[in-house]
Amino acid sequence: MHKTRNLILTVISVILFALFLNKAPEILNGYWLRIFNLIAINAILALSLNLIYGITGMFSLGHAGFMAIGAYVSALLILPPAQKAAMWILEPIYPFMLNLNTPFIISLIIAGIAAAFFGMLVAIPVLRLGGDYLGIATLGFAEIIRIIITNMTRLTNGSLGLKGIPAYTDLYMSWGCFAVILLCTVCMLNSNFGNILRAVRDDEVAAKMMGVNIFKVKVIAFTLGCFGAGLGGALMGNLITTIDPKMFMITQTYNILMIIVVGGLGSVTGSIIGSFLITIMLEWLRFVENPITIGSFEIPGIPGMRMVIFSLLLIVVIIFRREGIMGTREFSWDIFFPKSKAKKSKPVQNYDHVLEVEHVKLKFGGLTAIEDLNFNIDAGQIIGLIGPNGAGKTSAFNVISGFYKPTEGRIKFLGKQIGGLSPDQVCKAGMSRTFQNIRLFGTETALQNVTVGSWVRQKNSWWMSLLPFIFTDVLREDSEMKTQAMNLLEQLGLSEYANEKASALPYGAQRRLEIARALGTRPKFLLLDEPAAGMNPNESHELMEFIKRLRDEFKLTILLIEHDMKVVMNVCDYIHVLDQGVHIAQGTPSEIRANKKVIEAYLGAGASSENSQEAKF
Amino acid sequence: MTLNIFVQHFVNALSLGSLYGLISIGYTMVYGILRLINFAHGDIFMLGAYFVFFATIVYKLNWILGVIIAIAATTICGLLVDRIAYRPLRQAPRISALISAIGVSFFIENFAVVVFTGMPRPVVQPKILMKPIILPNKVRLIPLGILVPVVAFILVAALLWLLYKTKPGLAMRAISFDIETTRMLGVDVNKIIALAFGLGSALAAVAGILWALRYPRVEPFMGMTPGIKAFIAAVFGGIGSIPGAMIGGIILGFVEIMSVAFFPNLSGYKDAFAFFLLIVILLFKPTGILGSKIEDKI
Amino acid sequence: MRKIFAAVLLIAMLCSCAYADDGVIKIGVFNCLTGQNALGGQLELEGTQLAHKLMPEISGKKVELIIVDNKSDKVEAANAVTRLIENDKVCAIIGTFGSSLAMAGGEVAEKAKIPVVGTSCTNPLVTLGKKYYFRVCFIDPYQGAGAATYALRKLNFKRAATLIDVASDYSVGLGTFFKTAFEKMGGEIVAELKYNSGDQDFTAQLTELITKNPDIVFLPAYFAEGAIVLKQANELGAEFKFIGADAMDNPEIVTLGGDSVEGFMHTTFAYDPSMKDMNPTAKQFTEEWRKVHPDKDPNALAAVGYDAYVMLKDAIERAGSAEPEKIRDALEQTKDLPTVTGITTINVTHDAEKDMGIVEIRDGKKVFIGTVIPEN
Repeated sequence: MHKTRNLILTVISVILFALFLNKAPEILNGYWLRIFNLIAINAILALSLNLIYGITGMFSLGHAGFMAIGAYVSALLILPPAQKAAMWILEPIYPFMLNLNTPFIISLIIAGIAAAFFGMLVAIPVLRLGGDYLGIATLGFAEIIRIIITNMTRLTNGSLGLKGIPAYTDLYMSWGCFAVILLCTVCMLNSNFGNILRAVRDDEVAAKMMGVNIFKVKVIAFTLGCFGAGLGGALMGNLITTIDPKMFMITQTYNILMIIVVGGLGSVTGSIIGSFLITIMLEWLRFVENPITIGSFEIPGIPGMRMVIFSLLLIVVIIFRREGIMGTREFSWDIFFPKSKAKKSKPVQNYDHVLEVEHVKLKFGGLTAIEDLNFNIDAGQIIGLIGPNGAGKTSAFNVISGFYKPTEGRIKFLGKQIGGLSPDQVCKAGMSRTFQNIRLFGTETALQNVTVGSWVRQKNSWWMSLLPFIFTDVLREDSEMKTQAMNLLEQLGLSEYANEKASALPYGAQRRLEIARALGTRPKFLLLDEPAAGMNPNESHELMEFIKRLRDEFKLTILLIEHDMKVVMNVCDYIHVLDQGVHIAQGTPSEIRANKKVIEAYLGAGASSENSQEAKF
Repeated sequence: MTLNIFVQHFVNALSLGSLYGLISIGYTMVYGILRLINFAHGDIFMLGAYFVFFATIVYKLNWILGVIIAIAATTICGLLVDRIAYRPLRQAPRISALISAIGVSFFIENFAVVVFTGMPRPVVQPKILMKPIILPNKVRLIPLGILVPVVAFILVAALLWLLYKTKPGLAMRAISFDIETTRMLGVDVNKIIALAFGLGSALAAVAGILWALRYPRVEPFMGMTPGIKAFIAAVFGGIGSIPGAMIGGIILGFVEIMSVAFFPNLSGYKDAFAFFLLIVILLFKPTGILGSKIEDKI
Repeated sequence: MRKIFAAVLLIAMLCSCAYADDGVIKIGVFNCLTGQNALGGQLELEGTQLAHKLMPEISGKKVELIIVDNKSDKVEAANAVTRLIENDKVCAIIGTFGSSLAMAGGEVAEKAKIPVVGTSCTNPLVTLGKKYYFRVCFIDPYQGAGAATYALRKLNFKRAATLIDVASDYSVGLGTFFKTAFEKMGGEIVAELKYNSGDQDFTAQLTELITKNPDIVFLPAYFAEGAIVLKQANELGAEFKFIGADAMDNPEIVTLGGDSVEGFMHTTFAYDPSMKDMNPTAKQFTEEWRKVHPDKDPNALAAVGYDAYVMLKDAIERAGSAEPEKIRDALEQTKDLPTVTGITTINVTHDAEKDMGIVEIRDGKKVFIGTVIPEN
């Protein structure tokens, strides 16, 4: 119902805006037209940087470099041959370049693709880095691009730049490009691929465990962002009609960064608002540099004052409202209407399989974390893995789930060798896990967290989400995933939280949500790392029932690490005990309870009085 | 290339490199403690150079006094920057502080344009530092070229002593591990960070003054390029490591000079060499030559 | 709807022909008052302002100067010109220092059909194919050839080298034109070294130049960088001479360079306060300048800023109107106009044809050695 309503409202406002653009050349003077063009172009650039940084969390300072590539490619393609011949006054242009000529639109697309291509080339080696280092490396690349453009005179006309680029950029062109980019971005962000991007930003480790190939996703997001940078750069060059390498210095990147920060990192709406604000403000602030007449007084203009005020405003914004105007929120018509509720559907299927751990050894340098771990797990069992602190339990989990590669030994899952596979591959094979310290995607809703889990099963490719009108299958699949996720939430008693941010959920609910997210990948085998941590006796009692129910309802095999012996003894069919990396015992709960080695491991040698142990367990 | 020319290049590289190193010491110290890329470092460096210009040329103070006043004034500016622009963001995500730093950098540059105008001003070089010493084989070296590495060496030693042998140094190192825990141990974290910032700014001032002596003019944007270069140097050496910064600076000096010396036809690509090396180092040893490894725990 | 549309159109048309109806001629000035080119821009602006002060009326109408800063930034330059044309409704524009800024602004003016008189934007591309851009200065190929002619013919130097700022269109352009002219006249270019704007250490390039042992090095730098280059050359014991171009023409070069700039030569617009046989316009300019700026020497950049106003005034008077189109036509006809920097005639490419001056620094003072006509 409200979907149709929102669609109608959107269509109406788009039409209104189009009407405005249609009439703009008559209402506004050239000065304001220029500003309106700039706003659209800045918005394209902001959206693309926001995709890279705000949404996927890759701190890139290289935007200006990719803009430069786009601007040059487009300009070289649309300059008429005669003008090219006249402009290369220092060294002759490469002959093959001379006659290259395409329509403007095609040049824009090629510009975007060229920037995306170089973006990908940069991304593949560099995205292994994180945080500040990535920022520095991308900054370095942007500078290298600029230096190369400056020096390759025969190709780019060097520091002379390109002049008199035929101006095709009008409001239709700039806002049209913006509309296309906006539509694709919004569609993509609303699809499950958008969830994946945010998941990567919020927690890479957990995303990996949900079967996401982080590296691939990052490269895709970076490449798409570079496409936007190339397109925006091409439009900007075309609007100004002259480009040279100095236009694309680091300050250009800072400007765009400022837009997305002021607007709100990760918010599409914010990027657009930011573009309006910053572009107009930069123009408006010009007045402080002009002489101001008050009565008979004339205050002389102060050169440089504009940027002083501008930088002060930036500092003030970041200190007092650092999440920007929108934070990560998005505009939605729903804010004008009261909220409505969610709905339901039916359950999932069954499995029947085994894990074999054969003589697994794990060493870090000289340190042995696990010494010869060896056990099998049968389908439908709940297995406990216990041991004192530092026994290597979590290391064992990490080896099984693919975060560490075993130094020796083999791990067979469903008969297939998985030792040494990456977490996302292990996940695809049908294994999922939770983490000792909860690793949810904090800024996403509970529902989105679970749909990330369904990524592994998604059949449609990510790029289809850019054009959902053509690949309508994407929408159908996405809504299917959403329904399934909703079901899972319901089964786990979380449906009331479906649209709340994961980080805002109560502790117990967060634990359950992590499990729900793991179940979203439809695992056959589930690893739970201390599910009862931080729970009171009442809650842990509920948890025991819950784990049993999970096994039955989802036909799972479960391996769990737990310190709460009450939970372990109650829930597990079979228990393995580790101590300092050594597999010291295994057996049913009652066997383990009576095992001397285990008691010694927990209380130290010599301190074994069976009664006290009974009491503790 | 003849030997004496090579030696001349070598001397040039050492002189440029130690200046880079000197700037990056302050950079790296602030990063090491706060994990903040202080983009404004280059601009504080510029302030240092301007203050010495005002003290010695406009107010005609003698050199020693001028230098002391310039360092003090720059330190105060650095403390103000920390108090106003960084301190309110201690608990915020790191990106916020980074953007604040970019804002501060813009602010200082443009404020300098407003106050000092864009006009480059000359700095008087004491003759004694500038008269070339002619070494064997006609290799020339100005005394300043010796002074810079000496000052840098003394400062590195003093900083290391401060960090590893004194109580505030201990507190600084503790903060670099975990700011919250340090706070719980009863350390006045804000005071210690302010101290680190003050020191960083004083170091920037020293570098700015020596830079202005070597390249004797001051202008509002003079800190931009050296700032970025010093940052590269800090990454080379392992950002956070003080001896590393010095080594990184010297490496950068050598890369720049030797790329021109060996490939004069490609001298236009000089900065590209530096950035390329930066990326290669980041890829193969992201923590630089002397940096320590930080791991993400699962 | 149609009525509103018509009304809007009418208002727009009224506005567009309202240029000089209120008895005031509005002339826009866009120049770089801040940013990296601020120094040159400010000197030129002072020259233009001086001219306005001396000649506040053209054909009996008051002239209003509207000054906009282009911040040495191309986007801002285009914005500034748009603003002058759209908001302030100027009938003609003066500016700017920095050819790339002139080109960015020129595109806008061209579209709006408003004439512009360039000050010291010497790159040939500024007026290339432009109907509305003119300039009061000569162009770089002319200047580069002039420096080459002087070095080879007057000084008899056969081995030359260039040291170029690869990031500056001005520097790269001049370097190439110098090289072409020098080689054409039979000289030899022994090395071409490059640096980047913002560099402050040139020791590597200079050491390399020393090994190549040229007679003279052409250094088309901006004065602030140029002075540092000369200083370092001196420290390294370089024995060759340097010759620069008009961007080295700034009174500050001696204060920045000290002893090291001794003997440095550069080409410039044919004006310098030390000129011996000054033309009457130049004399008047020099005297009036000293009254307004007693603490500052008159200089060539201020002179071209002054000349741009003079040229525009002449065109408006001849056109008998402040309509942009008529001013443009009159500008095109400019011939034998006495200006501070010599007699100005506008040629087919809208560039001024005039003498070029050579200045040498002797005993810490700029000495105007004479004029040169480049061989071509």
